[in-house]
Amino acid sequence: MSFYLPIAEMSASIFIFLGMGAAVGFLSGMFGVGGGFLMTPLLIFSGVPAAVAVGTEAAQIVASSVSGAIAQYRRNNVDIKMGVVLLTGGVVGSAIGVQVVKILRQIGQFELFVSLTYVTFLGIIGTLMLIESLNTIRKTQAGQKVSARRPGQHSWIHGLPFKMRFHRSKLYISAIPPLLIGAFVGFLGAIMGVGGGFVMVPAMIYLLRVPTNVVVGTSLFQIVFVTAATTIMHATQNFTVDIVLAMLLMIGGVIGAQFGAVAGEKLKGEQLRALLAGLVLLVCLRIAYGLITTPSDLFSISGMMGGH
Amino acid sequence: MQIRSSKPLARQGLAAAIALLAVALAPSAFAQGGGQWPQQSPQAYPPQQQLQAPTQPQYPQGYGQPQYQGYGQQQPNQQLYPPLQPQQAYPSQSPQQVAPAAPLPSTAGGAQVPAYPSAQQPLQPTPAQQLPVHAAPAQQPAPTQAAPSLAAPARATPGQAAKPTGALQQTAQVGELPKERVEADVSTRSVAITSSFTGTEIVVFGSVENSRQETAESGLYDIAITIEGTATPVVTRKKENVGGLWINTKAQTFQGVPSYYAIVSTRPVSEVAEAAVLNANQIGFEHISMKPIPGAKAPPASELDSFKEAVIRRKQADKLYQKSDYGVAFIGRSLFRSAVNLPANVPVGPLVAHVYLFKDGKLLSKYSSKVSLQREGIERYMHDFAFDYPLFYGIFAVFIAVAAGLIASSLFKKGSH
Repeated sequence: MSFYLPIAEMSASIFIFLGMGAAVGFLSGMFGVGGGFLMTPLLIFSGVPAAVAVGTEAAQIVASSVSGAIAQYRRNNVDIKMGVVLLTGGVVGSAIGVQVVKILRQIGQFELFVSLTYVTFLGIIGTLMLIESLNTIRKTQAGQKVSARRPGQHSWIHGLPFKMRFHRSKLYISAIPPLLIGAFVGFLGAIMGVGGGFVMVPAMIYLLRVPTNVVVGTSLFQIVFVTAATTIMHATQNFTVDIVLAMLLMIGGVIGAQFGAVAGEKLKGEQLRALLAGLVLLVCLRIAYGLITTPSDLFSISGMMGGH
Repeated sequence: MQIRSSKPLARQGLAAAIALLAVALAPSAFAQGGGQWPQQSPQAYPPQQQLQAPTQPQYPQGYGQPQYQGYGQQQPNQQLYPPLQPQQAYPSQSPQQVAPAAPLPSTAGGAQVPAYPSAQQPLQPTPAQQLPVHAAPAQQPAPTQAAPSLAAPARATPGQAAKPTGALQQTAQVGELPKERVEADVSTRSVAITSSFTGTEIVVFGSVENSRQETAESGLYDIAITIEGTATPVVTRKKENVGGLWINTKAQTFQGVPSYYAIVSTRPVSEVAEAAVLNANQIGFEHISMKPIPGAKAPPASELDSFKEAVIRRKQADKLYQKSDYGVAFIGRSLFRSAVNLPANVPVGPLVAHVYLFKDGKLLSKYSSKVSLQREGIERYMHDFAFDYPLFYGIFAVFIAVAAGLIASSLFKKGSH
C-alpha cells in the first residue's frame, strides 16, 4: 500500500516506514535512547531527501521523548532548573543549526556535512561506550565491585562566573557550561536530526557531574522542548517537516518501543551498552563507507533552494 | 480533437451575437446565396429560424415552423446537409455559428460527427472542396463539417459569402493536394496527485488530416510527441575525491530545465529531422535548451556538456526524463497513438504536450495541449498548509507529536496494569 508523502514528494510504501519506525522503536525502547541517530540515516538510505529526513525526525523525537519525559517528571527525576538552562542554550544552538542546514543546502554540502558529523560523533561515542561496557563486563566477570559513583572533584568548571544553585542536582555551578552544552547539543540535533541524548547524557554525567538519577529525566525534558523548537524552525525555515511521514514513524515507533522495553529488561546494563555501542559503530561505518567509495555517478542534481 | 468545453457560455453568447448580426444582414445575403441551396436547408437551424422568421417572412417554406419540431423533422433527412459542404471554406467562423444551431449538443468537436452521419459521404466529392479546410482550427474538425450548413450563404453577410467561393476557386485552379495537419489530444487533461498517487499514464492520440500514406506501416510521416514540465533552474554538482572523501566540488546551475520531459516518436528523432529544427522545438533530450545561469563564470564547453549530460542522466535515473524512440505507432492511415508514463515523483506543476508532424524532415504541423498536474485532497491541503502557514504547520506537527506520545504512554499504562 503506497502513500504519497506531501513534503518529501515521493510515493512510499506505508509498511516500509511503519516497519522502520517499529524496528528503531524496538531498539530505542530496549536501549532507552531516542533512536534519531538510527532513524535519520535509515530514512536517507531509503530515498527520503536528507533535509526532509532531518526535519521530520525532529518531530518524531518529540513524540518518542514526551512520554518518557512525563514518566520521569512524575518520579521527580527532572531537574527543571537545570533543564531550563540546558534548553535555553539548546534552542539557541538549534536556531543556529537550522540556519546552517539552510546554508549548507544552498551550497550543496549538506549531505556531506551530515555524513561527517554522523561518522565523527557516532565513531567517538560508539568507541567510548564499547570500551566502557567491555571493561565493566570484564570487571564484573572478575568479581570486582563496580562503583557507579565518581569522587567529587574541583575542576576549571567551578571557577566560572554566573553561579547558580541547582537544588535537585545538588549542584552549585556556573550557568555557562550547561548553556554551552545545551547549545552544542541543540546545534547537533538540528543538523543530525537527533535528540542528542547520546551527547547530553555523558556530558551531564562527566562534565557537570549531575547525579545519574536525574540525568535521564532532565535530558529527556530538554530534548522534548528543543526538538519541538527545532521542528517548528525546520518547518518555517526549510519547509522540510513531512507530517505524514512523521506520523507513520511515530505509530511504528511507539509500538516497537513497547516490545523493546520488555526485551531490554532481560539484559544487563553493560550488555545493553555493549550492544548499543556495536549498533552505533555499525551505523557509523555504513555512513563512512558511503563517503569513501566511488559513487556510481559523480554528478548529482538538485533544485534551487530558497527560491520558493 | 480539442474539446473546448471550458467556455461554452461565452461561445454561445458570441454565437448568438453573430446570429443576430446575420439576421440583420440577412436580406441581402439571402438574396445572393439563397438560390444555391436546397429549400429545406434552413430547417436545420431552428434557433435561427425563430430569429429570422419575423424579418424574413418570404423565407422558403419550413421557416415558420416551431423550432424544435423543425429540428425533429430534420433528423430523418440529414442527407440534406451534404450540399452545404463547400462552406467548409469558412472554418474560422464555423465554431461561432455552430453554436446557435443548438441541435448540436455543444461545440464539442467529436460530439457533432454522429449528428450528421450521412453528411460524411458527400463530403468527399472532390479534393478541391476539402482544400481550404486547413484554415480551420485544428481541434475542431467536426464543427468544420457542420459549419457549411450554418453559414449557409443566405444568412451570412455578403462579404462572408464571397470568401468561400473565392477560396474554392483559388484552390481549384491551383489544384494542390490538401495540406497535412496534425490533430491530437491527451487522454487526461488533469492529473490529481492524491495520497494514493503512484504515477499514471497519459495517452496521446491524434490523426494526420489529409494523410496521404497508404497504410499505417508506410512511414510517410513521422510523429514526435514531447511532454514537458515547468522549466526550472537546476544545480548540477560534481564530486571529486578530496583526501579520500568524495566531496561536491564543482557546481553548475542551468536555467530552463524542464522538471519533467518525455519524448516519444515514430523513430529516433535524430533520423526525423535536422538538429536546428529539433533545437527550435526542444525535441529530444539533446535538444532541450538549458542555459547556464547568466552572471556566473561559465566553465569550458566540454565541462558544460558533461554537466548537461549529467542533468539528463540523473533525471533519467529518476524516471523524470523518458524517451521511447519507437513509442508512437500509426494505427491507420492517419491515426496514431502513444502512451507516456508519469512517475510518482513527477514534480507538481502544469505539463504541456506537443505533437509534431514531420514529413521528409520537414515540420508540417504541430499541436499543443496542456495537462494540469495538481495536488488534490489532503495532499493539497497539507502542502499548502506547510508552505503558506509554516509556523502553524510546525506547531501542528509538534502538537501531533506530543499527542502521539501521550496517547502511546497512556495506552502502555493501561496495558501494563
